[in-house]
Amino acid sequence: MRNEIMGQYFVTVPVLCQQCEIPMCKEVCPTEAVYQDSETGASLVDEERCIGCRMCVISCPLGAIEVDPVKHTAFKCDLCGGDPECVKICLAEALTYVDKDKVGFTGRREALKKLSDRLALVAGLPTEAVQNRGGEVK
Amino acid sequence: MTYGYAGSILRIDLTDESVSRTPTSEYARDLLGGRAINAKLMFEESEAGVSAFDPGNPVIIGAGLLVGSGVMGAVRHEITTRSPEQVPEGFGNVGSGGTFGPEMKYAGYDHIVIKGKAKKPTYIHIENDEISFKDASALWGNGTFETNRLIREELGDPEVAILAIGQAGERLVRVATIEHEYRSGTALGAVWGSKNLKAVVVRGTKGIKVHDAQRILELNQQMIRGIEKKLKGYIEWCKANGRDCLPYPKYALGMDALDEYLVQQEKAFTGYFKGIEWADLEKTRAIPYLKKRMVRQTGCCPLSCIGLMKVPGVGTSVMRCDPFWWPWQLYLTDLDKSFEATRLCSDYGMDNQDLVTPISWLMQLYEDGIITADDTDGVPMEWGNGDALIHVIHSVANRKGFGDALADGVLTLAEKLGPEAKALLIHRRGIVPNCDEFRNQAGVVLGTSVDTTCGRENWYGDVVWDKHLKETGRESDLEEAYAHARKTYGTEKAVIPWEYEGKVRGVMEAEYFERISDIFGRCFFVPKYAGHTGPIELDACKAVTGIDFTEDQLNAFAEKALTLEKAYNVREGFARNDEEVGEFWFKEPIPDGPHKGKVLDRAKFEKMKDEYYKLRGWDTETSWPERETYERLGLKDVASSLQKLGRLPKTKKQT
Repeated sequence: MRNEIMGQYFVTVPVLCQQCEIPMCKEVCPTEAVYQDSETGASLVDEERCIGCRMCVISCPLGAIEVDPVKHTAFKCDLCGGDPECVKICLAEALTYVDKDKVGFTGRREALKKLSDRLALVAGLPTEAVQNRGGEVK
Repeated sequence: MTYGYAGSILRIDLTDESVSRTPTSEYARDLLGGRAINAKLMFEESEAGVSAFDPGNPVIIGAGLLVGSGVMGAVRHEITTRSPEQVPEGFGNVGSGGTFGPEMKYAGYDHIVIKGKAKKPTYIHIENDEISFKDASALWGNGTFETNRLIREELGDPEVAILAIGQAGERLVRVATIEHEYRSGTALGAVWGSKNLKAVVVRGTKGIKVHDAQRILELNQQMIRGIEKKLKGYIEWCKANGRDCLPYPKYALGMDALDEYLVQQEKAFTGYFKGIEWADLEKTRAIPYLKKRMVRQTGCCPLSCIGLMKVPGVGTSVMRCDPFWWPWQLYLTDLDKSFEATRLCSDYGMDNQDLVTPISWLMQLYEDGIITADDTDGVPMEWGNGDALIHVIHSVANRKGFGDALADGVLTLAEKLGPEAKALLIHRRGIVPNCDEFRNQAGVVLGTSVDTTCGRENWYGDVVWDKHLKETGRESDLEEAYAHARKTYGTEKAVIPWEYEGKVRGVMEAEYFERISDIFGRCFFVPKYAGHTGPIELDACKAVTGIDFTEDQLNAFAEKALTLEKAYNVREGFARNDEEVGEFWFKEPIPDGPHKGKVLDRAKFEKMKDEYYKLRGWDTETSWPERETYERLGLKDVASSLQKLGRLPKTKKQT
């Protein structure tokens, strides 16, 4: 999703399906085309059942489900069966795929890294990023 | 051929606000897409001798074949029209990445042809099948930044893709560009101004059918891994050489390479075509400045080649390719001024390169005492004067004071300033070179001189700079390059920049490469950085369209595109003597640096040109393609229409 204003900053943020535990798209579907995968927990669309009524599109708070203009059935992030393509292609590592149970742990780890970098700056030591690049502290 | 294509060509007439559609398939079989179809439409839709500002001059916007399919970097659109900048006017083409190409294909159009002239300022809004002509009176007089904002606000749709001109285009400034999300290029914007066309806005939601989506994802993965590898190599190189690389390594990779390349290989000038030696050169290097001012990298594929910068008191914008070299050409050490100037160019909608060399020329004239401050509205054109740079940009875009003459082209200003000033002007058909050195690059000179769009430089890149490789301890690469040259071109001289032998084939390859990329709408940096060449294009084409082409077949499409572009120029009366680079490069040797004393050799150059024309199947005397060449490429209709105008070379029997 891009919010672009030329001549000023602009922000590009991926807005993805959160794979809700109680998905609105599933709740509103009149043909029960949306179901949850037992393995990955992803909400999926059964294309055979979908009638393209767009109820799910209207009700999703994030706009994470759309109707395919060619097939006329709903489609959404299916986590690529547990190996998401978007993560593999994200060079900036803005997207990562982590286990649900480890989300909190990963978050703490990131926060710690930032904190240690700040402390390193204060102490005049190389930050992790600088270390990785082999650069000198100025 | 349904896969990959959006399906139709949209024809818009601004004079009576009429719209019609024809199927793309009429052209697709013979010409594939993108730039090739653009060239054909350009030839068909215009008549001989119609000037750039005539309502009859068509503007053709074409999205490449792979655009919108999901192939990484396949996002480019090409705009073709008659160039108002060249003297005399000729074929003009400009391509850029961004969102416009994909959006127009999602709306259902492979090509858009715009003709006529609107009665009042207008912008065209295309939303799938709905085409509307909107009043642009309120937008007229605004820069491109504000125009983008106002259009998004008026339509209530932030997702639209916008091509727009700024004030410069409205005022028919010859160097005005068509701007798209900070991207521009060759100056064709004044044509839009002459049509009262402020912007073309498109939004599509239809999607594109592809043959094998899974394969496209696989190919993208391959390219990403290639880029990753290159990046790692760069970071390691930085470490090994004690260099600090940017926190935006992808962007740095490009900028660093350019910077190094230009300086070390003495491929650049300082001042007005002076040598490379300048005491303050170190103050103007890209990487330290980027470290200070760059805020994020952005772009239209994972390479993200656009560096967004913020300078306090000036604003946010991008450094388009050349502004890092501006300081060299102007002896300017204040890089913030350079940024301010390029930001103004983006906003006014003008081309950087077309302005900086004339400014450098004015500064040289001022130093030589040929002009005084009175000739430039009281602003002294001293070397390194950043305010003079800003002043020129404002006065050209607004056609104020002496800028009015420069807005009509650098030749007009030269006429006004007198013969002494004109004698110093280095140009080629009214287009000034940028700071690229020609005298030690025979291949680039040939490619540039025969370029159909009067481009500033040919992408002839199949050379190695031995000094650079030796210094960085990569002699093995050198041997590899020589072996490659012996195999491909028959002589290792082909990859030695200043040698003349074996260059013609290389130039032809470069021309094909450029056009194949443009036919596919695919950025050629992506395969380059991803470490792929030919085959991945073929694989991508197969995945999207389901058609298996061979490399030779693709080259034939590229040759068709090239020949059609050439045919347009031939119809306008261009001949061999229009395919020149200028006398300067043959007279003045390089003054300093490792290539000191090198200068182009006229006889060898003409011989090289002869060889090129012969290999292309063009007449060596006039440079016009022979009838057989057109027929071999299936362009019989083009040959017939040129015959009526007497623009086919005489057959050998008659001569």
